[in-house]
Amino acid sequence: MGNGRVFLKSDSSKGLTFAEAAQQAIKLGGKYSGKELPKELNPITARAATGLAGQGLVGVAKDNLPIKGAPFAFCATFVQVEVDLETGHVEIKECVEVADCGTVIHPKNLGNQLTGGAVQGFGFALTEKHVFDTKLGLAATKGLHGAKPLTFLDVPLDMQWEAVNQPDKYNPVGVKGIGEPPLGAAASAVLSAISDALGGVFFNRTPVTCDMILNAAEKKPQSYKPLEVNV
Amino acid sequence: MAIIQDMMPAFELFQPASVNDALALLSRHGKDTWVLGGGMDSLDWFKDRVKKPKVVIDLGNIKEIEGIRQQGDGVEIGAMTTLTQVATNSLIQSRYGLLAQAARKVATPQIRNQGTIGGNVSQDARCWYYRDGMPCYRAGGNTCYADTPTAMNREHCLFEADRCVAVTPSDTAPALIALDAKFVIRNSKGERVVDAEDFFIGPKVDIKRMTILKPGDLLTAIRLPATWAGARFYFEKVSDREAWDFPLVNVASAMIVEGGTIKQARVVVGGVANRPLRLKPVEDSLRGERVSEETAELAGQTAIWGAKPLNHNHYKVSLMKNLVKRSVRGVKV
Repeated sequence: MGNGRVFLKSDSSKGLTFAEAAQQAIKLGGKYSGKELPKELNPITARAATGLAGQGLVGVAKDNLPIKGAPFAFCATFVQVEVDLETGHVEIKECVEVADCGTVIHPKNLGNQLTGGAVQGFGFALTEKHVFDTKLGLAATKGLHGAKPLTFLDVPLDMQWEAVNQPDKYNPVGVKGIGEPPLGAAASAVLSAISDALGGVFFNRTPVTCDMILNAAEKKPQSYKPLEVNV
Repeated sequence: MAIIQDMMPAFELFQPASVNDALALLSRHGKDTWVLGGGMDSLDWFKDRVKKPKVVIDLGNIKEIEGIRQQGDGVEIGAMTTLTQVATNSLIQSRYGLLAQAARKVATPQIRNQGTIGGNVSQDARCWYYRDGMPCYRAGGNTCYADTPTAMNREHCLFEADRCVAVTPSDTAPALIALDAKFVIRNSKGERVVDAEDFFIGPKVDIKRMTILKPGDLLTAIRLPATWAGARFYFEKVSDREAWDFPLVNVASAMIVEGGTIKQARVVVGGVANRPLRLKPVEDSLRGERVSEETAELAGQTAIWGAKPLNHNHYKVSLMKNLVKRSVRGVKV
């Protein structure tokens, strides 16, 4: 293949454009256009291929692995925070993350996924929020500045990670994913640490911003109602 | 500035090379003229198409109002000096550390490299309703959107609300007032020098302006007298994150302490009123007192007297109290 064409290796002048190949597949039908599908398909693949059948050249990957259930990746995160009871400021002093993501293929990349995910999780826990004026239907937190993702100065210098490196037996190369687990784990760890620092105050919401922490520390009421969101 | 690929309404741009040229342009073009310093506030307004001046005068080429120099026993800072220059200058660091600290807390390194001290003190209110282009009092309308039972006003004011409840967003302004800085203002009629404290005005004076600068006026320099050089300083800013954020509340104080007793004090708080608030009752309560936890506590309590919180900002009362307390303790916990 090359330049939008499929052609013979021995003579590149003999071939078809992708469009011609797709037209040909539709004309031939059957296994070429996806009207006829092999039996050994993952149900999700089968549904997708059925939806596309007859629209072009359709190829599918067989999947006959004996899977019962979906293999999930896990992440355990530990953080230590310092909460300033006079200003409500939270400083994350250190962070350790341990992933169960099956076989580790690329350690550096995995480390980036874990620490990068944790930084996003810290933002969920501390600053990133939607604020709405419900009466006017106006969004207050617009743009990157208003959304307040965390900056380098808000992230601990000391971030460490590890992986259990146990192959997943249902996957041909033993891997599981590790995109999302670090986010939720890091956010929960920070929120739990804040509650612990305040002697067991639970906010039951995210983010927990410095004004909420200060109100809790000063034993003042919060300015939001229990189920009120987007404040 | 042409690197920003966004649709700004068209305007005529002038780039004078001297203050006199700038003043001539200002008097020639009148009210529809916008003075551009580092552009960190201006460009947001233009890009959001909320402010649409016909003429923009860029001060970037005027060398005479840039830089920091010794003047008598004090220091003069040109209005177009960048915040990075202010924060890293050795004269400022050694004698007026309070200002260096405050300048270093502004936004991000990129913004400090471009933003100027003159712009930082002249920037407009950050009330999100006003910035959104809502026709509020400050924008020439007849209502305030931030002071309603359902409004989101976590960042708004505790004091001096008068139709408008926005706050001063500057980090350097409280430090300059604490240092008793003098602001040099020029217009076609001549030059005048005002106290930093009087440079900032509340909505009661004029709801459409944050400072005494009127069309035709140019802030050219800020002078720091020797009075407070080398005093005991304290600056702290509390914001949601450590960079690229405006203060929820900030405090700047300068004190002359002899043998554990406060001889003189100036305490200024930002983020709690339309203008930076100099807390004279606190200063009076401190004079002659020993530096102690008790004195600090009393100063904190005195500071918040008369605070009127809105629906979402009563935390600022505690925050202000605690920051004033810390400024007396002088030790960052």
